[in-house]
Amino acid sequence: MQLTEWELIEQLKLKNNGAFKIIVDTWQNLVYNTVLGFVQNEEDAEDVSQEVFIQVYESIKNFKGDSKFSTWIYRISVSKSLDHLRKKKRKKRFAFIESLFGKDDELINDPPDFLHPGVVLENKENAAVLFKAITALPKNQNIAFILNKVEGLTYQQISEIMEVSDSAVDSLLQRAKTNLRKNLETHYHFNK
Amino acid sequence: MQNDPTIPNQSDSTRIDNILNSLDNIQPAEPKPFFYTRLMARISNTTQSSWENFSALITRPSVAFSGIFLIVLMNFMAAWLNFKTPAVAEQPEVVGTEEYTQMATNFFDIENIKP
Repeated sequence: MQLTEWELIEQLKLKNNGAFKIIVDTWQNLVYNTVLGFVQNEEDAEDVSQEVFIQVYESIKNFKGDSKFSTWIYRISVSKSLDHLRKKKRKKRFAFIESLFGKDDELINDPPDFLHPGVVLENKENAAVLFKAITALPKNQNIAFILNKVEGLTYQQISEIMEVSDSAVDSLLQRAKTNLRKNLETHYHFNK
Repeated sequence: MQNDPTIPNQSDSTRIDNILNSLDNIQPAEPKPFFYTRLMARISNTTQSSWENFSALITRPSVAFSGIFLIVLMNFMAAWLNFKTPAVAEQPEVVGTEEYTQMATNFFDIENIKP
């Protein structure tokens, strides 16, 4: 017998491991792909995806069904990814300060260019440049752009996840594109 | 006419367009196989007893230092209050020998009641 989404959620609230397995199997690709778009590293994406499901398991009792389950999972994925990036940034800054005092010779270097496994071969190089430029966007533009371009969500889905209007999402995406173009132009201007 | 260096030329502009469109038709990435197994292993490794949770809480530097600070503060306050209050020697309760005698007499009186 196949359980409906709502029945699965109810079973998960009762800490049923079978229901949890079905939920993980159903949503793991969505979570992993979203997280990978933000963290831009496959190992980190695996770790953060696991954290997302642990959070789902622990806080399912708080899910009241006001939004779709997928929207709720997307919100957790985005928030966990941003937390991870913040921690990584803090760690990098701390390592830099330690290196100034000669405490640790090993500096956390800038990561190599990220090659998304889902990008076609002829676009890989360009996509790596774009992914690097995306990290410099302001937070909300970054979220809207990744959800739209990497995860392929509609404006309406993004607006539900970010809890803003459709027009706000449109505006965020327009500004993101303008900023990316500006950053890339500057990059090519200085690299001539 | 000299080109404005701040305006990208045609080839740059095309390249930037190509970069901006490079995520078109992207395929979703998938985690490595057996994701659920690894997830459950992680959950079972991180599951702690309530005692472990408690010890983890009290060994946090912020909690530990706050606790030590509170204990030291309470000691100082107690010492200060003792120092401030004049020492009044408590008078021991003196029970007269008469009272003892009376009680003892009464006891033996009960034992030696004659008809």
